[in-house]
Amino acid sequence: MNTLTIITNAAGEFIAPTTAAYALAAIGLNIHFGMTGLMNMGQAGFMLLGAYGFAITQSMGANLFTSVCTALLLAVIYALLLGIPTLRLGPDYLAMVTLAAAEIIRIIGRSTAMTHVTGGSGGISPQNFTEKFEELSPLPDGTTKVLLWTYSNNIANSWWLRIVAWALVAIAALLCWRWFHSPWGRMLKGIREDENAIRSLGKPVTRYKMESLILGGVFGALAGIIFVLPRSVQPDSLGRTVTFYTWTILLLGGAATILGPILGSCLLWVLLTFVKELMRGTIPATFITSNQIEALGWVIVGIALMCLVIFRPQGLLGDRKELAFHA
Amino acid sequence: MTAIVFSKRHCRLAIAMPCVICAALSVFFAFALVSAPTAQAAPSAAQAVATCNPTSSNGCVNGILQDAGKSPIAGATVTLSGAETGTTTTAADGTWAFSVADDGDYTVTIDATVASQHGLAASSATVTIKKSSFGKQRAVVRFDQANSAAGASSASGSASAASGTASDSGSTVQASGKPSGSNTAMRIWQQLYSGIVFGLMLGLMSVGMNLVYGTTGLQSFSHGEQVTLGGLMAYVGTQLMHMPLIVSAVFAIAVGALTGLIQNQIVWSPLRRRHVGTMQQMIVTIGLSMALQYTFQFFFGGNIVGIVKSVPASFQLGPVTTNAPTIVSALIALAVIIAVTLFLYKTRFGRATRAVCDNPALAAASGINVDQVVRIVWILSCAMAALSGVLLGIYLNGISWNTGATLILLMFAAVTLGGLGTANGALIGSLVIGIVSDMSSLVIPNDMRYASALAILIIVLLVRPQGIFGKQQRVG
Repeated sequence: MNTLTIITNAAGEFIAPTTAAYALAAIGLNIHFGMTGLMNMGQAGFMLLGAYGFAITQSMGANLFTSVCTALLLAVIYALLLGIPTLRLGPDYLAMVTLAAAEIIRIIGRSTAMTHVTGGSGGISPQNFTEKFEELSPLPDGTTKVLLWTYSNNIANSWWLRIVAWALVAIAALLCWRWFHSPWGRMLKGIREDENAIRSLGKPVTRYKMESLILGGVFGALAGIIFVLPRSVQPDSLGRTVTFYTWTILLLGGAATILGPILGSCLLWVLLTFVKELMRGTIPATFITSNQIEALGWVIVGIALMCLVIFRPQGLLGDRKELAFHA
Repeated sequence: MTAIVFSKRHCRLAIAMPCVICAALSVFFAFALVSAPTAQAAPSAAQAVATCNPTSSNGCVNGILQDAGKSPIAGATVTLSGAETGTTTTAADGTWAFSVADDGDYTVTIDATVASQHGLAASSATVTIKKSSFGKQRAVVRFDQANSAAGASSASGSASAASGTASDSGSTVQASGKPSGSNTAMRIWQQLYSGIVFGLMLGLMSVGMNLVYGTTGLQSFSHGEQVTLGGLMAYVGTQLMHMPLIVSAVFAIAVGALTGLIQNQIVWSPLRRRHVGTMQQMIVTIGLSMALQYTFQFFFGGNIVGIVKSVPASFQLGPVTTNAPTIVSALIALAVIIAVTLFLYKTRFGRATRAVCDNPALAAASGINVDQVVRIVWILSCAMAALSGVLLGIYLNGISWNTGATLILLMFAAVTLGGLGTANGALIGSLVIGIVSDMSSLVIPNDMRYASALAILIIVLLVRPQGIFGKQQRVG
């Protein structure tokens, strides 16, 4: 493996749809945790619901708009169901409940009893739900090479998907920027810093938290759609670990910042791919197999998460004073 | 000073007790195991490339080609036809495996002359693969058994119990040979029994986790990895270092205890000194859990490794079918839990531990060495997790890199139900979770049963967040 391939592959992650999907999910989580201080440990649940909502309605023949709306609606309902009982309670309750609920969605989704709806653990294959999205593309068929990267224009892991995904990320970041600097955003920050102070001002704290949970969840659902478009809907690929990676991304970039989630996502995936490709290129396969390198990559992520939280909880862009873990 | 001296003495007692009990009971179990006729070697234990493990995307058709005298036939050609086709030759030990991506019926054929030469009962067998079903993601074909189709189906039960998410409890193994579903009362008893056994093992994990929560306020996500570590270390002991099972178990517990000590000294103690919030520490445990999990995968691969390589004979005990290792494992779990409870309530150090659980500041003010207590609790908790990993690995016929990770939420559910930070709450909670999740498979599909346990977690958090035995003050 030569150096150019390694660099091409690693830098390709910079614009990959999956990176965009994680950035979107982290933006959603940033609204929860960075802005409001909610410990959402089940962002993957929102993503999986969004993916199912989109893919199932698509395979039933609905149009794109309906499908996206269904996905977002599911996320809203899910946020309401989780939020109404738990937001009054302490932060660890929300953490546990979201974690368990996300896992329940995954278990039900992969169950054999649901095979006719969700496809069980095999999931929903891409030809059932990506067609309409690909038809919408204004790009001509074929493949295009831009700088180092060659991808198909419209099919599967395509330029079209990249354009849509990063446009969504840009819109989300813009919206977050507006929200962060609006009175509403300041209210959320107030809740994050001292819930009781805000309550003493006569503000409905629980309602604000709920709005935050719903908005972040909606971004999660969008992220889920982007996440599954280049592959298939597989419940096990949207499990707990996805939530944990999203947390790593958010904490790496910096919670409570606008660009933190995007920077975190790009950085994590580019570096991870680079390290893995480098190991593949330099260490002979007889010594360490490809699977082991994959595992080693996740070990690095785990250790990175630990070190981040211990040594630099504000991440790369964040402000230490802004970020406080309230326990 | 006397307090410290005392607690040191008790701390040794704390570690020694589970070991002694475990060792004593393991003797039993080893005897039972030796005397039990070995049905067949577990096909999934080897890490060779030729070994297949079912995942969500592939199923397995495999087997060992042996002649009537159980000696392997190497180099024979095995042909797979059906939904997918393929050809392979058997390895030196007679093993062969196909990894298949499609569900459906497969026919496995060997050369008829080979079959007749070696006195095999059949030269072809048809099996059904269904990736999404735990019982049908792997099919084992044995040509040396008279009715190869039946042999395949019963073997697939035992193989699948060891595979996948470690969720399959003994019931699958034991029930597989029986006409299933014909006798509802029988099934209820069987599920109740396997629920209790599973609950006891879960209890062994949860009690330690709950002690850590009680003394430090930390909900540790990496506790599941401590369980996996125990099972894997026992595997290292028995299969790689060829030690007897009991020695391996003690070795696993010692390694577990050591990791508890090390991580407390290196990570948790400094974090507590810096007054890092428990939520922040919880995310650190998530990172640790990820790092450990994939470290296990790095060293042990994605396969299930078997601690003991034999399937013990099952027997009838009242209305349920069981086997000796299961009973002994459950008894060991129960004994250790009782020992820990006695230790907490009857000894001076146990009292100190409970004092720290109630109010660390007050305990420190009254002369209890809180750091010491927390250290011992970490050691004890990780040692118990390791023991439960060993027992679980034996009970489930194997352990894999993510066994603990699949159980961590059930542990959370158990301790939340019993009451966070309470000693015996964890046991009751675990039993309830174990029984409910196994019994619920009578009404809901088997692969959804963990969802019922997690639903309990959510409901308990909403209705009675302090749990059954918890104190009211934690609400809100």
